[in-house]
Amino acid sequence: MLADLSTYSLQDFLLFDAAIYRDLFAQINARAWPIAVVGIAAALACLALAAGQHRRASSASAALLAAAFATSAWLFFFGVYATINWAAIYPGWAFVAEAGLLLVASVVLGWSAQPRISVSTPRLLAGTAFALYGVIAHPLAGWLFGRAANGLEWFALAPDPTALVAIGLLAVTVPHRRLALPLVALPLLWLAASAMTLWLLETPAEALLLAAATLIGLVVLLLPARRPRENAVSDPLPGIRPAENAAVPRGLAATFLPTSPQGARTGRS
Amino acid sequence: MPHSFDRRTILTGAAATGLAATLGLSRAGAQEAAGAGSLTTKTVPSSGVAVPVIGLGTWITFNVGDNADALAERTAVMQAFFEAGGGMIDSSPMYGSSQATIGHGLSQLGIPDTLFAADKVWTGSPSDGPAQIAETERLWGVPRLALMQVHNLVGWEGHLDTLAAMKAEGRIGHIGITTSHGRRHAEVAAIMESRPIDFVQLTYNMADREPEERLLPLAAERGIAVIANRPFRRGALIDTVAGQPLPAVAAEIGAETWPQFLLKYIVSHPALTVAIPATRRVDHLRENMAAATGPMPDASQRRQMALAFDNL
Repeated sequence: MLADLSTYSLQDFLLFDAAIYRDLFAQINARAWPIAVVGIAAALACLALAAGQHRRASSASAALLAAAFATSAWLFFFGVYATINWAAIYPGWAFVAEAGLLLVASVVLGWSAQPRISVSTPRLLAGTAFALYGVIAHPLAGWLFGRAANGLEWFALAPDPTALVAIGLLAVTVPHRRLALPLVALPLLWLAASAMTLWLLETPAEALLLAAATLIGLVVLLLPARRPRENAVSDPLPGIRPAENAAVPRGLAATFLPTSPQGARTGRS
Repeated sequence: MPHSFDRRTILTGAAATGLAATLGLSRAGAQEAAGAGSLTTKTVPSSGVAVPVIGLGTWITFNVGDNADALAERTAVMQAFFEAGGGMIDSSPMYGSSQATIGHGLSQLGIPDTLFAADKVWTGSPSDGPAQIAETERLWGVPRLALMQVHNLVGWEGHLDTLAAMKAEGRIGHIGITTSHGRRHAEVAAIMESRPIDFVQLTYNMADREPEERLLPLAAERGIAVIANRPFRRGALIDTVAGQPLPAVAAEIGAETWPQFLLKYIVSHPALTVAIPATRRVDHLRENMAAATGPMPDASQRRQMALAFDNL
């Protein structure tokens, strides 16, 4: 059977052509464009919260992303992609799982005292720029590649910009890599798969752009969230003051459990 | 919108079938010489049904989902196919929305007498086969499929038992198996030798000529009709020959273009029944269908064609 599989090329698994794939986005835009408008506005608001060091920036961003992954799963994967690709339900359910994970993260982040990402750190600047790329520049790049204006891919509807914005928003609102990386694992996997799909659909420029954006997103997540002096303050959660740190559980629990109700209200780091 | 078909073409094919029987041509690949403008047909050895040698595949090209423009374009392709006298349309549950696209076209055009509806069962569980076949019939909107094949030999033993029973009950016309890309030819040959199938579908084109060694002679010997898929290797062969001058033999066989040259080679094999090129364009469809008209290459000309292709 393995020998049999080896006779297939990746292209043999593509059931559709580029024109039909592109039209899927026109279909979901026609059906649900207000969701994209609301989603983009909400994403920009979350970026503003993050830039303002608001204590609800993390939970609000995770909640928004949970909703965006859910709508993308419902409208794109189950709504239109499944009409031309019987395998689309699998990434669709993965997006549903990601939405659930983000929802849990939103609740946890709402409870816990999250250290903020310092103003002017590379992570905040690059993450904000990356999220803006996902919200605005990446969709418009499709226009440059010849897509019709009504067929552009938008956050909260199409999976690629939704995944890109997730990386950017989580980079600027969740400083702990232990929490951020599990949350962006699926978006990163999807983006890699999507870039491969675009490549096999013989749209190499779009594929390379998405692949490059994915790699840049990964780099953004790995940038330091705190200034060196602040990083030196505490362990294991950098940026949390020693008094707060004493109440913090270690290991995996440190990632998901609230630090302390008191810390959650101080909003300081 | 009801469509009036070219009855003369249909009757020509039917008359030619009767002539072939009268002349006692070989069961496998009884080929009818086409009159000017009419399609060459071949008979299915097990049933005597005549099928034009160029059919219509739907892999990728008919998987358009709910795209209204694309649905209309594919309906136009089907209309041109039937206007040219086309018969076999082949699809599979694996091909996304292709079955529904065919059904959409048939609902617009009506079901012509020439239609030879070929589809596949594609599920690992033989017990799921009947439900999948029923869904296929619903999507096509036809009361009875002319041919049901086991797709890529998936669960073939159980499915062939099911299909044989359905054929015995008159619920389907013919049964068969499929493979592609040259896979599992030994297993295909074993099934052809041991099971009473009407059709085998395989990849055969000017670049993939391995079936000439074993499977095509076996099909002729066993009286099994043969469908050639991937006649252009998903367009790659046309890209390969683009810009190359047509060999001199092309003029002798009435091939005005490379696609016609490639198709005439395939369907002129004595054991080959029908080739199923897929297209989304009406002009390409007409070009393909023209390969079923005019003279077909004889054995000597086929050797010249193969040599010319190999020397490209």
